[in-house]
Amino acid sequence: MVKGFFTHESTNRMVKTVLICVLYSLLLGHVNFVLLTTLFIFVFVLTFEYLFRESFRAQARKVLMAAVLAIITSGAVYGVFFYLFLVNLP
Amino acid sequence: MIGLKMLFDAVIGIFNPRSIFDALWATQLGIIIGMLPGLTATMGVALLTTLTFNMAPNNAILILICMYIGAIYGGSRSAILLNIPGTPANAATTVDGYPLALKGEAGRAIGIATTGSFLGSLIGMLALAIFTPLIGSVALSFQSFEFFWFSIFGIVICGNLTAPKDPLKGWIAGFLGLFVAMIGMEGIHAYVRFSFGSTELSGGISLIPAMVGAFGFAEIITVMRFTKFEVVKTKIGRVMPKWRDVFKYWKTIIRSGLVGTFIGAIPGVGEDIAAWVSYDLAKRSAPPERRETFGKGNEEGLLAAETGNNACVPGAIIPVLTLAIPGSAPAAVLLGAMLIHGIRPGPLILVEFPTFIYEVVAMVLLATIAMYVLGLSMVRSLVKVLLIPRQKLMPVIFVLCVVGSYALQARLFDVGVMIVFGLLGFILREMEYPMAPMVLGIILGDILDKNLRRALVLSNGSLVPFFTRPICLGIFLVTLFVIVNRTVWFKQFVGAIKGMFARKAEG
Repeated sequence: MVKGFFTHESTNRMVKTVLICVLYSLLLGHVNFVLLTTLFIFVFVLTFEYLFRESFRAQARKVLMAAVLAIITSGAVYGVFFYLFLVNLP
Repeated sequence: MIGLKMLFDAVIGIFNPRSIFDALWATQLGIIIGMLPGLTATMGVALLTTLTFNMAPNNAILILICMYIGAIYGGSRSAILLNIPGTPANAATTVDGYPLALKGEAGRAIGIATTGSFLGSLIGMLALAIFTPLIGSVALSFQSFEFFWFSIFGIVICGNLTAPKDPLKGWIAGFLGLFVAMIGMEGIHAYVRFSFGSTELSGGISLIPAMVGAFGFAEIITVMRFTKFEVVKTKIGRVMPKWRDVFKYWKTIIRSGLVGTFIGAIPGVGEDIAAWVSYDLAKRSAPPERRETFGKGNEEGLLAAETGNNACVPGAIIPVLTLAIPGSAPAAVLLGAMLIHGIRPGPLILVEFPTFIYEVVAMVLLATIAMYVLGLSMVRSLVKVLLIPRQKLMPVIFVLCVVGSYALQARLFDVGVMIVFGLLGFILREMEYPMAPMVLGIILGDILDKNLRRALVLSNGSLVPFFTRPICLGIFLVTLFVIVNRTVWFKQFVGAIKGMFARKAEG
């Protein structure tokens, strides 16, 4: 039963989510915010979308879209909070 | 008359271009957040609090109220089209909303839900305008003894209603919240408690990061666990409902509106309970032949659920303004936001900010109108929002959770608080412990602690006034009844008495 819990897909997804999010939070303040946030979103999206059994070429669009989303989000969050709300981000 | 004049002035004052613009974008954002399964009204209000803390108090509170009303309504969209409630408040909406969509009547269902939400909000708003000054003037006579019992009553009733299967879990969650509130400097002598030498902990656990964690991060983990949702493939036809179709259920509308408002005013009991109770009452009062159609696409059931949950929103604001005790989880964040903006809700609000109550009523009115207008327009284009993959949306939401928690006091410790409460919230939810009593406990902890100690100072350490003052005795007995009522031996005792009377009647 315990083995079943750990190998179940939903558990796998839950553990991945928690690990990525906690790691991001732990690195805040130690790595540049924009860089870290871009990396976090990029890794998060690809963790759940990228299929290792398929070739990179077939999934290049996914990778590109993840990179675009990551760059736009981190830039927008930094811009809004730093310039509009005058918050010194970590 | 003075009250009416203040209300009139507030309504005239709120209809200015800036407020209308703020109401429109905040309500639309609320509808989108409510629509997306996993993003709750509490999370939306908490995240927006962090974005509005530089604004003028009235603008900020208007935006938060619009977000609250928009999100509670927006959840009906995914309940109808996905069979997944966008927020817990819309769980009852799925029962009849989704079958209507399956029949190809998604547009009609959305129209009925929108009208129900609009009318429910209006009924709640009227109650807010009438009862807030009344309760406020009564609350002026409350002292520390009464506030202590109100806090205990809030935790017990909230635990009881949010964990109907096992109220003990609700009470445990509530008292866990109270314990969390004891961390840090206490409110009378600033003595540091339970900080274990940590400077960060001596400042206490802030409400907003804790709530962003419990309702934001915990939701993100929950949402990411499941595989993708299926949007019902149906053509959305005419959305604008025929008023005749809606008003033939006028009794249901009024009943659900009043029930929703009343449930909203009970501390910590949120929109989900209001919707279920309204739905259940509508089902029970329907004629037997129509009762069978509930759950199979009955428009009266859908109307009752949506009227009830949106009526709960203004209802939940009543205790926020009069007693500084939130009626629901999003109202708890609203209370926190008011405190951040220098408004002190509670019995003294009638003395310190007499016009504010009516300004809030006007804000609810503006938000309700914005919700109705936006709810009936752009329906087809907004459905596309439901198709955004979660793995793309959730990291963006998490970044906002992190930055929102950090931005309030610019300390990384609050990000840690958010993470810890997110994980705790997720685990507790998996074990079927409700979150609302815990959040209520965090808010009421300070009120309870200060008032207990202040009361003990006033009574020279005697506990007797806690049981001899009339209001205290009343609240104590009701609280005791709520607890005893759920015990097995009480049920056996009631059963035995009923049996005895039945035997006597037969004999």
